[in-house]
Amino acid sequence: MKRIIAVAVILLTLSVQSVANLAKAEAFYEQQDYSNALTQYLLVLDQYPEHIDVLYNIGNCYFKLEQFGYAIAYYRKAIKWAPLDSDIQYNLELSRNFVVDEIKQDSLLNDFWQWRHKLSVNQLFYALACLIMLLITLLFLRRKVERREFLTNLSWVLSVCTVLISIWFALSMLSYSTDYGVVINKKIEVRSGPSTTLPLLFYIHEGHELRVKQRKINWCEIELSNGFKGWVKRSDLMMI
Amino acid sequence: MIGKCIKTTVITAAMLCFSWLSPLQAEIKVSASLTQQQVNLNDSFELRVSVSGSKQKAAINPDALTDFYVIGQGSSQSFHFVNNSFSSTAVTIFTLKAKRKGKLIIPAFSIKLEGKTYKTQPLTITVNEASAQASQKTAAAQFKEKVSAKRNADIFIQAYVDKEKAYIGEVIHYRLLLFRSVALLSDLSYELPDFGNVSSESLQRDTKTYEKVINGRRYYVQEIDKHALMAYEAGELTISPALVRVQLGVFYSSQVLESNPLTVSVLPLPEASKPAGFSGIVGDYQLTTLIDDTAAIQNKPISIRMKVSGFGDLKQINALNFEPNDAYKIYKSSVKDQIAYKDTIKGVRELEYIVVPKEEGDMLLPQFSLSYFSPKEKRYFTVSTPTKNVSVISSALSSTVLNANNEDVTLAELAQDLRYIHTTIFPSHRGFIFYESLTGLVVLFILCVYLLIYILTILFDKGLGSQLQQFVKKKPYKVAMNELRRVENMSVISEQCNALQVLLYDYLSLVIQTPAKALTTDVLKQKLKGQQVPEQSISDLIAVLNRCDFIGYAPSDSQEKSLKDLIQKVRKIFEDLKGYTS
Repeated sequence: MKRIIAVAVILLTLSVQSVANLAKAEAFYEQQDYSNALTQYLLVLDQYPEHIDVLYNIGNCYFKLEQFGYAIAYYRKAIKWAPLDSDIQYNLELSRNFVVDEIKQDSLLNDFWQWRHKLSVNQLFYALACLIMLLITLLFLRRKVERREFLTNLSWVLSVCTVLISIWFALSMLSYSTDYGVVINKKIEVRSGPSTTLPLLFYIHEGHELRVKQRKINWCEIELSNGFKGWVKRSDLMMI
Repeated sequence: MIGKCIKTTVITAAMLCFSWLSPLQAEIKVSASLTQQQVNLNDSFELRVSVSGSKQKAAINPDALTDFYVIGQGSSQSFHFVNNSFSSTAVTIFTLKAKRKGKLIIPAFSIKLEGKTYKTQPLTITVNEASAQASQKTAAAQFKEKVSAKRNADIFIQAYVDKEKAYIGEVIHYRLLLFRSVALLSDLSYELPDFGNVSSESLQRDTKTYEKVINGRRYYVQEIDKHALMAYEAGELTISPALVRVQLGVFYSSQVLESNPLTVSVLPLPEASKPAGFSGIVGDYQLTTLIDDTAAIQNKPISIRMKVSGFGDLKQINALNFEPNDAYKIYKSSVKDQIAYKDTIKGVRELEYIVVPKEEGDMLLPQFSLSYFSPKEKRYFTVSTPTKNVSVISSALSSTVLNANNEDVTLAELAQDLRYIHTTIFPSHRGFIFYESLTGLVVLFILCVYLLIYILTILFDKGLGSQLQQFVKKKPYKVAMNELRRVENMSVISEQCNALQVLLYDYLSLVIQTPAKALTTDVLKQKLKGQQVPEQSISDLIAVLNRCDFIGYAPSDSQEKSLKDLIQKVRKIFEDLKGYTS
């Protein structure tokens, strides 16, 4: 009992502290003191990691401080859980305007591929669960009801939807399990291996979003959306 | 509309580029050119004085043009960007009319620019006899007829002007009327008179014929010509007679008629209280501006359109006056006319200016003005656009943006900024992967249960129950042996005996696949034979069953040992029949 009370008191203290930090951060932000607002938000994030609104607000602070790499990274973290949030989408797109690197891609294919991020893994999971339960209910009903034709057709439609959502969900899960990173320094060197003595392949700039293929102690192997690969220092990236 | 937008955008973008590239400007050059090398005395022509490579606006004084009337003055600006080299050219255009015929010289202009004096080259132009005079002579020669010097009573022409005195630039309306007492008129042609030192615009004549009684005689009156005349020189203006050739019908020969000459006294414009920016505009005008925007973006152009409407020679208005200011740059963009030449000259001239704010903050838009002389009021007027304050936003975070077209009020974004932070009282909206959250796990569990139930239902429908039973039946020997051990441990002999019998019958039921207890001994034997059970096993089985019956009816302590033997025999029977229970 004593232990439960102790845990409750600690949690309450943390919550009260976080609420106070949030209030301070918002006040600093209103006064355009973005550095202090950022500090307060980071304190809250320590207590409540992956808190979507705090991630978004931190992104805003970094944007105002013209650290677009961090801003993009935090927006990406937030949008992972709330892909339909228009504010995050808008600010992320605005931040991307400040990225120096421009990689030309087949826009149609890219647009299609980006569709998988339109819903989060969680949203897809709940949608899929609902669909499956609905489908099973229909199949149960079909056994009991005499006029089965309508229910059979509906079941077919639902089955197709379920399959599609399942594929989408699988792709999202694949994406979720993939590591992504954002360049946080102004200009970084990409080398052919995890050492500064190895040849320099190309440069990438702040805010560039990339896939992290593998991680070593101080280095990460990266792959750009155009297929370029190389190694960068881990301190140059922020993992999403 | 789209074309206009594109045009405006291109012009303004070009201007902005040029303004940024101003350090690359080329050296200063001045030159003069004529649109024609040869003109008639009454014809107007243009003199263009170009200044390129200078940031400073050139002041060109036309006073040296003593042999010419300066009818109008305007300016234009053009920009060139060739091989990374930028240059701008300002052109001052003078519309001139020669005062006399012959080979006339346009002297060199001295232009002071950025502390230095530049000179244009002198030009020569050949001025021939006035076209109207020449054509009159030609017409007279062609007609070879005696012009009727006195008025013919049946048919005559009469010229009118609406005023005897007019100021320089004031519109004088000239009308030429044909009076005829005969109804028929098969042909009519006429030559315009020499209007003298005026610029003229043809007005739409009244095509209706009306009747008028003069000295008791009825005439058909027809308007032949109507002109608006604007004198550009003070003094006596003489309008020579017009010549008209008419043919009344096929049976009549044609005759040439001459109108009356006219004189108008042209008054100079008063020097007293002449406004500073006055450029010789005469008439009655209003000036309105079309700008609704209250905000602008630094270094982004705003289009301001001014409408000058009223009565008078609107084409003379080529530019408006404004005070230059370092806070913005102003460029003249385009001119559009909606001028009607009907009874008089009236309409609208729309002048578009591009204003580029250079500094952020609150800014007063430039005030444009027009000075004109009103002949009706006999005094000068200066009309100005109202002052308007706009907020100039920094271009750092702004994208495009002010819409130049104010007639279509479209919603435009003035600046882009971040969406505001999400204010939360308590941090609760966390990002979890579904399998880390309670809700997700509950949903996952329900889903699994749902799926399991459905799968089981399907399997049972497909005969899973019987398959399960069969699965159990596949090991009846094990079950029977376990049951036998349970029976062995029973304490009461009679119960032991009954249980043994039940177990035996159940086991036999599995072998013959029919409830065995209801069968007679003979039928049971037959069934067992049908299952290919050996004779010895059948007879042992029957013997055990009979022994069980006996012990069940007469239990005693002495029979406890024989029951144990019996159980051993049952065990053996189960082993014998093990292969027949599938």
